[in-house]
Amino acid sequence: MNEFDDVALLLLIVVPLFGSLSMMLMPGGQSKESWYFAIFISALSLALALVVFADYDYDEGGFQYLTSYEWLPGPLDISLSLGIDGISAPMVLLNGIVLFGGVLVSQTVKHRTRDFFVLLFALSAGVYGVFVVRDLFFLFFFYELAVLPMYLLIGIWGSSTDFGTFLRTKEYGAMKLLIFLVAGSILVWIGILALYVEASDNGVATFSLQGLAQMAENGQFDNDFQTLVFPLFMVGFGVLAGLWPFHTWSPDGHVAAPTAVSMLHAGVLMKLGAYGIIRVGMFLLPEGADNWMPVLITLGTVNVVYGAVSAMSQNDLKYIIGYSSVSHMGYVLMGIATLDNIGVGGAVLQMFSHGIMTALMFLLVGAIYERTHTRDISVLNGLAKRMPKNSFFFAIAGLASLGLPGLSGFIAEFMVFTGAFRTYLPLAILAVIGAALTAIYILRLLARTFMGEPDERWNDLTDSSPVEMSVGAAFVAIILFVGIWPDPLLRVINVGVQSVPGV
Amino acid sequence: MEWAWLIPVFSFAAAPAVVIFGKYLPGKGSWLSILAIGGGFVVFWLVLDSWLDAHTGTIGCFTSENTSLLTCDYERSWFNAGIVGAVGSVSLNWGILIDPLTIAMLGLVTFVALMVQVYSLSYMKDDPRFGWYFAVHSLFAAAMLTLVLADNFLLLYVAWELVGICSYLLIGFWHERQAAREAAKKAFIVTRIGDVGLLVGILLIWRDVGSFSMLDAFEAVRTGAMSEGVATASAILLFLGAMGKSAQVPFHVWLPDAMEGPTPVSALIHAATMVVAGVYLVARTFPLFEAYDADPLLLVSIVGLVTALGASTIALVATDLKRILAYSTISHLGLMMLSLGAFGYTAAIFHMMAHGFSKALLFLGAGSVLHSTEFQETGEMGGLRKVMPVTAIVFSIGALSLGGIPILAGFWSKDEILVAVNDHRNVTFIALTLFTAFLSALYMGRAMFLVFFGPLKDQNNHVHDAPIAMALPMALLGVLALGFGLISFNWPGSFGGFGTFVFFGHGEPFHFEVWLGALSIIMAVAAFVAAYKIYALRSVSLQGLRSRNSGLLKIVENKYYFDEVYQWTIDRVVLVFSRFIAYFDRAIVNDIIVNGPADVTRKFGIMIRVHVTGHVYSYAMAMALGSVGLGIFVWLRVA
Amino acid sequence: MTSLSENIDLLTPEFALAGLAFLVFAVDLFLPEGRKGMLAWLSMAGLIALIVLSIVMLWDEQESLYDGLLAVDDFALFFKVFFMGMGIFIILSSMDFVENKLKHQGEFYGLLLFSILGMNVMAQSRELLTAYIALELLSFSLYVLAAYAKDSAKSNESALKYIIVGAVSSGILLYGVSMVYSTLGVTKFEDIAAGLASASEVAPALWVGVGLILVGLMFKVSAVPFHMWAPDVYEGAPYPVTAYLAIGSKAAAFALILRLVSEGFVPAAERWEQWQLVFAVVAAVTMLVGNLVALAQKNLKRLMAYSSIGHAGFILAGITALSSDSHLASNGVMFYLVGYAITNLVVFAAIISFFNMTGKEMIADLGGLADQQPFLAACLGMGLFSLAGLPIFVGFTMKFYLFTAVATEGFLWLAALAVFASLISLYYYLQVLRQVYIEPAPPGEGGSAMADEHPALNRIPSLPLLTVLGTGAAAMIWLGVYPRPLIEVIEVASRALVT
Repeated sequence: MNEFDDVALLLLIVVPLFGSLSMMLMPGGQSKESWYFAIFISALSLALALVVFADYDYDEGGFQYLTSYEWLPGPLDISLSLGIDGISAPMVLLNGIVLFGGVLVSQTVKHRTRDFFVLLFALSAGVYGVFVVRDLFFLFFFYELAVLPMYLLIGIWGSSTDFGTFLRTKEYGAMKLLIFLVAGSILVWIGILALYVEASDNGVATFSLQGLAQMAENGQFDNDFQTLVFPLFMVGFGVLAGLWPFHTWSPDGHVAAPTAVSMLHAGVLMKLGAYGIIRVGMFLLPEGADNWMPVLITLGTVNVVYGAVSAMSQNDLKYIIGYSSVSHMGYVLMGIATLDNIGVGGAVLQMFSHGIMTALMFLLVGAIYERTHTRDISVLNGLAKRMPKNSFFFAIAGLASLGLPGLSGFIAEFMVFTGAFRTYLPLAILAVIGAALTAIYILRLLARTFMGEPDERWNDLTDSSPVEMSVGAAFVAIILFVGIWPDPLLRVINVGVQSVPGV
Repeated sequence: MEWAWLIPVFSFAAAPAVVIFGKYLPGKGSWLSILAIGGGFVVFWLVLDSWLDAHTGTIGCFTSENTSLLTCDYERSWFNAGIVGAVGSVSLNWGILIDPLTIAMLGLVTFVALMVQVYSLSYMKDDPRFGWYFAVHSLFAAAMLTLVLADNFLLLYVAWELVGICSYLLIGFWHERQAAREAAKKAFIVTRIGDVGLLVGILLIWRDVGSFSMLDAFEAVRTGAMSEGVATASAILLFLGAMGKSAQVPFHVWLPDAMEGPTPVSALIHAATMVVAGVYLVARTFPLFEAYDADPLLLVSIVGLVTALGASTIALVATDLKRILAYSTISHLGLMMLSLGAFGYTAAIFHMMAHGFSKALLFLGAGSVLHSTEFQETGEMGGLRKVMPVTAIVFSIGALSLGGIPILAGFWSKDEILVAVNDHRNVTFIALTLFTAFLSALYMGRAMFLVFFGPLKDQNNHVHDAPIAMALPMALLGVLALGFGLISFNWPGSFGGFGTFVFFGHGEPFHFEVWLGALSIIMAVAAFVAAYKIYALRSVSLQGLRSRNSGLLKIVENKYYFDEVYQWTIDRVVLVFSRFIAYFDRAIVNDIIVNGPADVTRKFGIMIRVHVTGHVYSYAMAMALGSVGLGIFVWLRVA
Repeated sequence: MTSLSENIDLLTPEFALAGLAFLVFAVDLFLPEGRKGMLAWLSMAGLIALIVLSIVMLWDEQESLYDGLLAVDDFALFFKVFFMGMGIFIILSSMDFVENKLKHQGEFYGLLLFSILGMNVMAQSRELLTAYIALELLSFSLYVLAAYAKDSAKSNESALKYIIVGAVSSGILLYGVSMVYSTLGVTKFEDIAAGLASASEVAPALWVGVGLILVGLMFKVSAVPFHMWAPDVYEGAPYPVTAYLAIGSKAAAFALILRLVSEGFVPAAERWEQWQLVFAVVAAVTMLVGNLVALAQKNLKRLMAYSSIGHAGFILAGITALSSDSHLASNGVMFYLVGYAITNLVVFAAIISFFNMTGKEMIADLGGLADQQPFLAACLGMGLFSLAGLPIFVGFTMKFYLFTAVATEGFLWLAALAVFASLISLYYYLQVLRQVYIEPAPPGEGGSAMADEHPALNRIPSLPLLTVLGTGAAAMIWLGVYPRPLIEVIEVASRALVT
């Protein structure tokens, strides 16, 4: 343990937080300068994330980079204790990548640029926090922190869209998103209180995940209690993971959100939910999890099919991708619910791969919207001629999301199916069919948007900017890499999954 | 032999290279692709050679218990799902499995792909996306080669899907054309539906065997470790996938539309890559099919027969040259399946190859016709032999071969199929098969005579013959279409004929059922003669026949209304359902279930706001009541 | 029985505070108009001096004066410092307002100081009548302050309501006191506890008496159903006074309740267990009604009034959870009071300076504030998030602490309800935030842009207000991220409570 290892995780949280606060003090208005500074900060955090991930010793496994700072002794024993295991390490990396990409493409944000990055960094600090803390109080603290800036990010920099039959204003999207997520988080809060009370009744009043997990292992939480409390976490975190029927905030949020926010929202934020279910639900309430998994996997399957079916008839690019996220998060939930080492591993891998590919999609949609000011696929067409690179990357992302082998999505979905086949055969078959549905809406999207003769309106359309393209290329590279050689990720994930109780 | 993996890797490497560097290279890098596939072809020969002098002692080689063939298996670790060694974890491998079946496929694919690419050099030369075309072409070939080499189901599935996506890209190559877009989408989605079956089948097997290796699965079947139920179920599911790719009824609808792609692509798809994958899959997983009492095989043979018969009737009335060929492909694929279903393992593979060469030839020929006439309708052609002799000759060779005229390749393979059907299935089968054979001779003749014989139309005077780059591949294929059949004889020396090279269970040296052979020859010749009279000399008119069964004719001309039915289902069922769900999501889930509680809460707030009247007396009143209430409550708590 | 003169010096801060108030009145007579601003600085200087004085001389005192009428302990000290410090910030945020909108500044600050004196004594008193007198001292100053905008009808009306309803509540309280005395013969908290504990079979009169006392106090903290005066008074009273009502009088009342309950009721264990439910129910109703009705408000002051009712409900939940075996609940309540005071100070300072600039007090008027007054908007936004209980602000930490306490004392359902109520509150806080950050500026009466009609909007807020905003915001974040020092102090204070 060298000095760096002691502070690495703290830095992960502090760097974006520092960025947020220091930008708050910077003079507003100069968008370029703010952008450069933001790039610097996000690059720094990406570097940290990379190092942390690379240095994670998967042979040893378990929690590493352990550090703990006493925060509030006495009656409530709260301490800021940090550490990552094989499940959180890839998530940290994911956040680093998506944040960096998001900041880079936020060059287009010209209005109140500084405030934008202030909030963006606050958000990502929260996300990092959730992934690296090992204390319920702080997990909740950062969870809320990650959710809260969304309101302003969407409300101020978002866009309202009129869909003829109905209108989706950015205010509506933002308010809905925040109310939903906070509503979910109060369930989590109640769950946390219940856990704490139960723990202190059993003698140890603590918020420490480790301590609570220990108690759970010793069977100090009886089955009824677990069965009672687990749904709080399942639904509470599930809301953020887009669990059906609590998913509607997500597509509407996307439609309203600016590019970078969509990227982080679908790329990372939704993963927080799934992560919470694993980290809190399954680690602290294994028996409860065991009793509730049939419900969760059913809902997850509904997610898969329902999301795919509703995506089929959408005409707004962001709605399509939004619903496809709902559908893809379904695989994550299914994988978790299999309680099978391959299934859960697949879920975690799916979190990563879906994070990258959705972020990529939103990036490209953002680039298109930037230039055409529409996302309506019945108007767009033949963009492949005008924006070849953009279209090519979009095709790759689309194929990844319909589970084409050789791209990251396939490995993850395949593992989820494998796990599900072992545990819940009928639902698994249903999910495979749902996966086939993905092809329908993705190909529809590709055909309508990119193929065909472009109409003259798009004659002077320029291809995406070098920045956007380099980010896109990087994301595509990751998708290919994971699809062809998933081992570097998987061997980390495998050890993490192995330690999940009940797996 | 373990170097066989190079065969696909060459082309895999070529694809991105062409995309990225193509624009800087001469010929847009097309020669890279050709070099790659050529290299593959060379390696194929080396592999064949080293297999021939390999024996059970050779590293990785052993004699398969199922096929009793020398089989060689090599793998490298790919990734591990779950910690290595932990309970329930699996390790996935890059693995190649080499046995005669694989080798035969390798030969077919590399050779045809090579020919088609050379042909494309001049066929596609004016296309703006020339480089892209070759890149996808390489990827296509590479995927197919991986598919035939794969030794485990996962890798097979991977290649399977890649083949699908490449066909999507190539069929939709001219995506500016609405029809091409639709065709590409159709091809991908229809086959994808079959793939669901395939994936489910694979996972079922995994669930039972605990490994994705084919050999393990076959072993489990052989030893009975895999129950009959699982074996049958997974066989049928795999067959679903095969039906999708090999365009068996009712999944055949995508194939004719796939004609929207460039003609060389059709040649590739029909002869070597896409559609034969299904047949290969059934052959490869044959142990699952013939396990226990081989029920799945009956299904296979029935589907095959129906496909063969139905398609050949449509081919008879189709007027678009490429579509005639397309339906002929379907019908011949049907024959292959039928043969497999009738335990005619060798015959099926043999026919696959014979058909492959002939069909590639036909398409390339058709390509050169369309290329210079710019017509697809046979009605616009006629008498072309005068202006494009070479094309006429090679096309006729292909047609005769598929029509089953003796000593041409198609004749021998078809004969083998007839024998197999005759041996293992009842009389209806053999009768219908013969009828199909007759029909296929008839429509082949029809196509050939309509296009190349009869009077030459003035509009086609300018037409010129194929340039050398196109003629050469055609010629080479023509040679094979002519002579490939000879490989089935028992030769003096070590080689006992194709039947002793590729077989399942026990080798069968060449043998010949005289009456069947005679019958088929007679029918084939008769068919061609009839076709000649009707379409070349126009001395026999079919008007009477047509008018008499106009109803039947209408049904056939409309391809038995499959497309209409599907279209209806998609529009009226799938899309409607999807729109309903989308509406449901917005109107019910969102506006009622989600916004509802929020609104109710706010309304409630507004409602109870009125209690703050602003009048002091009401406040005092409330306080008084409150105190009393509180007092009572306290008292109740205690007493 | 000890003599009156014994260690009377412990009361020096109180005497000094009274003296300061008189001093302000006196100086007021000699100051010419326009120089009256001096008075504010004078009072603040005095308060600072008094804070230092009380800390220096009363630190770790553990005395009980006059046979236990008054306590001089860390608990009292904590609240004294809290009240006086708060007084300083109230004065800071009222200076401009008083200067421009009110007459007779001298009396204003004088009365403010007197009310603070009342609060201090409330925090000290351990006997019903003493508490009552202190309470009245506070109330009367507030009545006058509420009516301070003499020429505003609204102000007078609200003051009148306040006085009448307040008088009724005082009456009820006093009646309750008399009934308790008539049954138990004592008025000291610990004696009440003893009486309750010992008496196996207790006269209903006693229950009624206790009930009435509670009613009187519930009125002060504007708990449902004794809350209705709050919105009207808040709306009518001059802005700084509204802020003062929301923060000060509430905190003082809770200080008193805290001591009364934990010294008078909690020791009588089984009785207390019977009554906890009463508090719980009142708390539940209060938090629900307050937050629900707030959803329907258009006027900033009324919104804050209902929000403060809601928060009263949360704090009452904390009171419910008081117990003899842990300080968690009392810590939680005190932490909450401090955090709530700071947050409210920031919010009120923000809307006061907005009012000073535009004279508007509707939520809809806040549109586009973020563009004209970024700093103001930022502070307001942070304050609102903090009130809604979101990190990284004190609102989150204090709620988490308090609700955890409530849950651990066996009121998980109440805690859950509180969590739910704060979700409701989030909605209306966001409505304000939305105006500030998302909506464009509304046109002024003249139809031209707001900023043109009110040029003040383009100037930065006055220095005193900036001070309040800056320090307040900093404190919110600091306590939200690292409350440990404060909580350790609180721990000391609540240990002083005899339970």
